[in-house]
Amino acid sequence: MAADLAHLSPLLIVCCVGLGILLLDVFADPKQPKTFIGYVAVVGLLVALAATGWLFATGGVLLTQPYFAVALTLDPFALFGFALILVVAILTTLASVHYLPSQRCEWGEYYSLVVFASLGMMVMVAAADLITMFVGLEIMSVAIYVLAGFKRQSPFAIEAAMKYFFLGAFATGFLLYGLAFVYGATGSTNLNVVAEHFAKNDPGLYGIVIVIMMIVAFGFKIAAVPFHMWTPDVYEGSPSPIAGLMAGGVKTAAFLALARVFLTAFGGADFENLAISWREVFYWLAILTMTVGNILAVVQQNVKRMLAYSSISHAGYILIGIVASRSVDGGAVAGSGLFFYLLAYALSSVGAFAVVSMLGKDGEEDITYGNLAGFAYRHGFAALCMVIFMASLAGIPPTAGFLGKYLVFTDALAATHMNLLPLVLVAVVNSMIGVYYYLKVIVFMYMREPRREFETIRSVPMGIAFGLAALVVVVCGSFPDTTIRWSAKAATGNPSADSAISAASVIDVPAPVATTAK
Amino acid sequence: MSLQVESLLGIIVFLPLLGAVINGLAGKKLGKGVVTFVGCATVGVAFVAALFAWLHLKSGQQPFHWLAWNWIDAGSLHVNLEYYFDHLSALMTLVVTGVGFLIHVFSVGYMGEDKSYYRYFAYLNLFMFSMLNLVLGSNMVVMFLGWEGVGLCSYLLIGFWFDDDLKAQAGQKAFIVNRIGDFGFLIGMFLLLFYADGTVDYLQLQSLFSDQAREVGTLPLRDSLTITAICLCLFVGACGKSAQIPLYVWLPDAMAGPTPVSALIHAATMVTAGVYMITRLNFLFMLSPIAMATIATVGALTAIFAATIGIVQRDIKKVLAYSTVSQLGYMFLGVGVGAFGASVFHLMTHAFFKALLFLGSGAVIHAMHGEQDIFKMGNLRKLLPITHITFLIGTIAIAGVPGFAGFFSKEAILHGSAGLGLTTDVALTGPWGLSEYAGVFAGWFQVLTVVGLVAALCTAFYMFRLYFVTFWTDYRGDRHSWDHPHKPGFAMEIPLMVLAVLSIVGGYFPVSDWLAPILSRPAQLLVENHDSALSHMLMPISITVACIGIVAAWFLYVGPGRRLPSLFASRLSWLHTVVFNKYFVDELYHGMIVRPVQVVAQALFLVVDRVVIDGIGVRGAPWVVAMTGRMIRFVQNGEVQRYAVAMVVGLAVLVYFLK
Repeated sequence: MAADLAHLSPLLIVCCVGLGILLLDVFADPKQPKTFIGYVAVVGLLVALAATGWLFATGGVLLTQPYFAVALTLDPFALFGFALILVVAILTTLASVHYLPSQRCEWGEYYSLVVFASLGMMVMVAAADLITMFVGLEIMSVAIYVLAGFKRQSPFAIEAAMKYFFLGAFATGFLLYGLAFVYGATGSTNLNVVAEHFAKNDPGLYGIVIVIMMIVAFGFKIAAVPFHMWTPDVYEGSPSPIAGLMAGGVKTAAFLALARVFLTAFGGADFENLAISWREVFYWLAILTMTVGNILAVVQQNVKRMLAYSSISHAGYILIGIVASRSVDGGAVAGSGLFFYLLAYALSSVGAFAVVSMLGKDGEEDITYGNLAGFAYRHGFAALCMVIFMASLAGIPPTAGFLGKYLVFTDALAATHMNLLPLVLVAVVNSMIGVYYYLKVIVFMYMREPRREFETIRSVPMGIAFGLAALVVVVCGSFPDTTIRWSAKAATGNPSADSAISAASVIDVPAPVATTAK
Repeated sequence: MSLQVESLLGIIVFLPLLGAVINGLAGKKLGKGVVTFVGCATVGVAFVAALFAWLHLKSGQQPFHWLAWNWIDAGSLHVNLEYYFDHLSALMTLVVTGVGFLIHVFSVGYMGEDKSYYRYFAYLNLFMFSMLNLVLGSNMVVMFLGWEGVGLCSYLLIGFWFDDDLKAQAGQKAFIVNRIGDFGFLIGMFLLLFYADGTVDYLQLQSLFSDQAREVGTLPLRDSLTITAICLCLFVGACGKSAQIPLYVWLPDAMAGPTPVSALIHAATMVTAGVYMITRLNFLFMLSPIAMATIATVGALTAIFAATIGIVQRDIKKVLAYSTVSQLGYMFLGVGVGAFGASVFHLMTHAFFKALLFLGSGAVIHAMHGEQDIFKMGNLRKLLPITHITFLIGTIAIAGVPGFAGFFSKEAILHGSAGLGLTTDVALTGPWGLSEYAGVFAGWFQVLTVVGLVAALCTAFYMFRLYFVTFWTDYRGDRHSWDHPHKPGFAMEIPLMVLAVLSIVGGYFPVSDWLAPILSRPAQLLVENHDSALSHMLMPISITVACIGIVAAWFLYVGPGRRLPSLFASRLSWLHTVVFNKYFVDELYHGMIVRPVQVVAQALFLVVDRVVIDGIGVRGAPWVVAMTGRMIRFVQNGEVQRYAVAMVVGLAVLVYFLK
């Protein structure tokens, strides 16, 4: 029991931090700036990150108590996700502390909402049960809905929050519907039990309905075309650091949850034999998502909208990693490229949005390319970091984004279950299109004279946020050894396969401990 | 003990980097004294460390590795940031750090008044770091890192005075021409990587391509065509870096940089990288007779071609630049005929005397307030006695007068070339038969030897022409410079003296024997089987040739024939014009390559930039946005529903496909 609690420490710490800073805000002097709450949150998240690192170093742990074990899996897969989400949350918080006052929306609950959103994401990636995953998803989503509309004096923010909420609710409906069918077909919502059931029984029509519902629900969260239409509006209206959290954190969590659900529960051979397997659906979604995202990104005038479409196109590339992944023995065995790509993409986008956060003034943001003109002459360091993020998103060496693409494409070409060469070719062509609008940012920053004076936020923590992100992006791109090893560990060192909870032990939940401990 | 020796390599390589970082980041605030100390001491200590490592090797110990970092360890590709100290890299390291240190000291005097003093030393130290990576790296990737690094530093230092447009352009030209070479090098490297299955380490490559592998038939490359292609691609890279035909054009322009830079980068170290690379991969090049013959031919042609241009140049640094191109040609002739030891020997002696000559010319230019035209100088031995003596020693050394360093090394190369030409019955075996190699090309190598001898004649002539016109005859410049010359200080004179001593004694170092361990067996056999009878014939000829050159220079520029040069120039004005203008190669390249590229670029600019981007993109995008805006206004209330409808449509399509 005590060991389990220690192993759950990343989640518990994050939960306590969220509650703690909520209380801190209540007792804080309302006239004073709330900056310190942000710093407290950062420290708390760092502690959680350290705990995650400790667990990851031990190679993932098995929860012994059955009521934990049926709900959560703390394998390297989940811990890798924890670490990534925590880093993104820390960078988001650092980017926010001076952004909020300048946007006149400095309310203390902001930080606890960020922390709770992160908690939700962590629960999602660690979920061993569809219900747990759903709870995590909702913890995250509700917090994010509020954060999207946090600049509540701005009509755009309210529009963004409302749209996100309505459509999110719509998508959640599909998810719940799918869940109901899963339960109806198998009598359980535990991923391993579902997998075992489908290994013995033909999924048939149930399988088709479940797959459709799940794809729509996850397609919304990862912003895959045609479920993407909310993305640019929401990113544009949200506070810029929150847009970074959505692009870097929410999407990472959604992708990892998607990978776990599809590879664990629906990874069996029978799902391959459906009229069209979900891999083929993702195959076409990937092509559609990359292409539409890229083409629409090219014509954007607003940098935040451009980044939104860019994040859509990246969802397409990441889907390639999902399609290329194989499930073995019921455990999610994704290609290591998927994890590396997620890391590269998450840090590059959260960093890019942190730089974009600088461009606010007095409750107003107008982040067109024109406002970036001559940026490099006034903010050399920020511009340099932005160059690194753009290079990484475009996939130019020596950044992490390049290696991420390289690894995902290699995984895809090495896949034996499908011929993914056409998919990779489409992706390469799309990467080339992408270079255009990423370079455009650099061109404006370095080669255009500023048209007019625009105010920017000068903030050290913000600088630390994008500076750190840029450093990691370059280091992971230049010395990828360690990161590749971690990705491989996250991909293959999955103890959930070893600990595959037998159907019997799940159905009588308070069963003796011995059935799960190995 | 061994641990200490290995870590010496770390000191040698990374100390200059530390210097570059300190001077580059904080140099502005540190003050000149500290910058000087950091810049020179890091290289000096690296030299001392190299000496210790060399002594260790000399005492009969094995070559050793030092691993800095496991760089890439992904799948089948393993690349380490690792350094390797064997006989070849020891020699190169000593030359690079030793000559480099002297040039750093010289720069203290030469660059003393420059406002970007710290920037200069930061670049110079960064160059040392890159060059040491190039020569000490234990695999192709580290070498390539250094290869690109020296190119970058060369660009930065040529364009050091970037306020001057011409100088900035010279830097760009060097960079672009080098990129062409680097492209070849990269292709060669990737081909090699591909066929050697990801092996990048020299020792592993050598064992892959070794005799045994050849005999038992496990050689990774079965067809000689592929191996020839790899060698030729690598050689293209060498042509770019080491200024060989047709990529030599950047080196004369590179003289726009500060003179110590010309001495360090464009004479003693960087430009010899190609020779080093081919020597390092001798086991590979020895497998391709065609590539070897190509290298020898290009080398010999470059030697004679550049030497003839050198005869008519007026700019003191241009003469030395063409002389460098010509001497590099000799080195390539040497590696091309398999005389690797002789080439590296010449590389070393050339580093000594050419650095000496460049630094001497630097002292002259410094004294003459920046004047570079030798016909506006004269009689300078009165003003600059020490510079004069040391410059004379350098000139004698390069001209090939017996007893001085250049004589021995040039002799060794010509001997290698002629010896190979006469050796038709060497009992060597192998799939492509080295005896065939020697046999097929025997006559051709004799021709190349003669070409080399003619180039030697030209060298002796133009170098003594330079010497006589600068230091003898009457002064022809303006009075002010003569009355108030900038006399060189100790910082400039001491390096000159040290290099002068090295230009004499450098010839007595048995480089060919020293390098024997790094040569592959075929290369060793080639050296052993040289016909010794020829050297007796060759030596008198080349001594005679050198003397003729010197006497002719004296006769035409100091002696009774002083009117003849201008007479030649006016009578044979067409020939003079052609040669003086460097055979119009620059103009040819400009017409055939630069202009067409510019035209295409202009066309692309008009079509792509003006029409596609400005027209469709810049003007089209606002239109798209405006239209979108209008549409959004039109469906303001229905927008969320629209999004939801899109999702449902997506769902419907899924259902359609899954059914």
